[in-house]
Amino acid sequence: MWFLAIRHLVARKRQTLFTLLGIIFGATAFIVISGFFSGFQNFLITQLLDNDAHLKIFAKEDLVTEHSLDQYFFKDAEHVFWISPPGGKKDLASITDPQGWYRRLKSDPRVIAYSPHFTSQILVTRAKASVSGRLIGVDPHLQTKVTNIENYMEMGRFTDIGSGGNRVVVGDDFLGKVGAHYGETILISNGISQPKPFKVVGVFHTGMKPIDGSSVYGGLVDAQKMNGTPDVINEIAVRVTDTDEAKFMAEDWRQSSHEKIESWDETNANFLSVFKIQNATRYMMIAVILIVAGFGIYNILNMVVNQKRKDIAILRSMGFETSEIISLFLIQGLILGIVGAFSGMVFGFLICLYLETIRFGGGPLGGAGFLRISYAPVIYIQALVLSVACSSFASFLPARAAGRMQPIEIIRAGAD
Amino acid sequence: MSIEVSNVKKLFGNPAVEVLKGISFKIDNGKFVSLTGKSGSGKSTLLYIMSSLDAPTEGSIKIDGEDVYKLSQKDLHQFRNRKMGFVFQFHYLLPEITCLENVLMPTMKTGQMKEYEKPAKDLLALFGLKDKFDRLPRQLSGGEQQRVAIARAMIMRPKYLFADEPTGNLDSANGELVMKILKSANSSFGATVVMVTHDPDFAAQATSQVFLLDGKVSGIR
Repeated sequence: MWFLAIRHLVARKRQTLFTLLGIIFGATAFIVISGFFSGFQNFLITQLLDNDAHLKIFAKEDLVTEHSLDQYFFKDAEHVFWISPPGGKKDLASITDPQGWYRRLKSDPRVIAYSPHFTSQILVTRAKASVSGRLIGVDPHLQTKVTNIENYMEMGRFTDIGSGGNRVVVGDDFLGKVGAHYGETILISNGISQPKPFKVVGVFHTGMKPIDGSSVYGGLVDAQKMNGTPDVINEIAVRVTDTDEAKFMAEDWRQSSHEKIESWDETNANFLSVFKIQNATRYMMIAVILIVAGFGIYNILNMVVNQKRKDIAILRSMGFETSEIISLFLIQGLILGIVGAFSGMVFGFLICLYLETIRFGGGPLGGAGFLRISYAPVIYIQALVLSVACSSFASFLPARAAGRMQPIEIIRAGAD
Repeated sequence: MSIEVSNVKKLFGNPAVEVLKGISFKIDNGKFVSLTGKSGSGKSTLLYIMSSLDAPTEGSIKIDGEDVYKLSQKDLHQFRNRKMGFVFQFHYLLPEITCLENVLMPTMKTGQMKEYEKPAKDLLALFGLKDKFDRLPRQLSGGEQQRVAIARAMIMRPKYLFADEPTGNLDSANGELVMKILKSANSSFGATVVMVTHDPDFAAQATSQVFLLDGKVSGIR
């Protein structure tokens, strides 16, 4: 029935064109919206994975309560009363057995690199301004294996921090807040100690506001010294081979250690849940577009089936079967779906190419420069499958109605 | 071999009106039969019942000894395709395809379009449509369209040709031409022709005539 189906479509050019446009718009919208959203999401995820450790091991902050010490000092006592009960926090949270962790991380094949940190809250002062931030004490050679911070350096090199000697690498936003420049010296204090001078030997810009606006990287030894706690670390950043695996590794390690362990997707759970909502919105938008296009096909084919009642009667009288009548109309829907999907894919692709040239500054993506568009084949496959499925379903109902028509009813109606 | 109509009754509507009130007759193969009667006498209804398109309320139709309403759908469609040809008052050509393609439609079902292309052209030429193979139906006159429709009905050389008022919409010259073609189908390859008409002149040209009156056979000649 292909021959007749194609003739039908060609005979009503305008209708065919408009139906086709509906599907083309649907497929185009799918490609563009999906490409835009997943390009954006992929970009953000890459940023996250590049700039931050995949897994972080934190020192657990145990709170000391009235009864924390009962076990140790007053085993047999029924009640322990304090004149002034202990107040919450231990004096310093630290990873109790870093050497044990290092051994463990070294022997784990899923771990690419790790970097011990000593992180503390700091106050940076320059002239009369003071800004709070985070000082991350690192070994720069280890740190550059864990994150790609080296790629985001605007000035200087990350390894210029060296192993000590009061040099820091600072986020550009933070530097702006302090009002200092590359090469100048800033005063850093942890709030307790006397402020110490640090030289700004590098500036980075990751595009992530929270990082750029508060992070100061310094030598591990310097950070420990400032806090008066040599050899103590309170964080280990880990890079793994498979980022999807990170969650399970965290789960694993949690079972057998005292430390708090967070994988990248747990750290950024709120971020990722935004993606989920975005995706839901995207699918809803696309569903609406496709339903509208589907109704277009349905309406037009329904009309065509009614106009073609005589033709159906004559085909039946020639011995064409129900299934052949159904396929006559189904094929039309399929052709519309396939042609529409492919044209939509081409249009969508072209629009995506154009979108990529649009400058996109500011926002959380300050560094991106251009809109990020995804060209993942799966988007195109989905567009094809959805458009074809939608148009075949929309044409199936009128086609089935056509198949059910009995020739005599049509002839009789025609004679009246 | 024959078409055997036995005790056919047909009721329509609600409350039911009996349009055919028990009709029985037999048409031997190779005959040219006309069904005549006033409008409302049930002659068209009878034709559609005889030609497998409309099931009777009661009674049976046997063609070549087989009850057509007991055939499976597949056999019925094959039967229609191979052995029956239909000509309607409104010629019902498919408007999107050319005359030649219209004539070839029945052969499309069996995938024999190529083999039948020459016979189809011969048939159209015979009907005086030699230079109109590639015209669309709307580019033809009513008489020409009806001739194309008859060519379509005849392309498979059916054993049975059913015609419902084939001349009803035509002027007398074209009507004569259509009668001539139907008669030639009857004589050249022995098709049994059953034709409904209310025109007594055309009816008289048939080899036998069945008269209907108020849903009953009032005479056979």
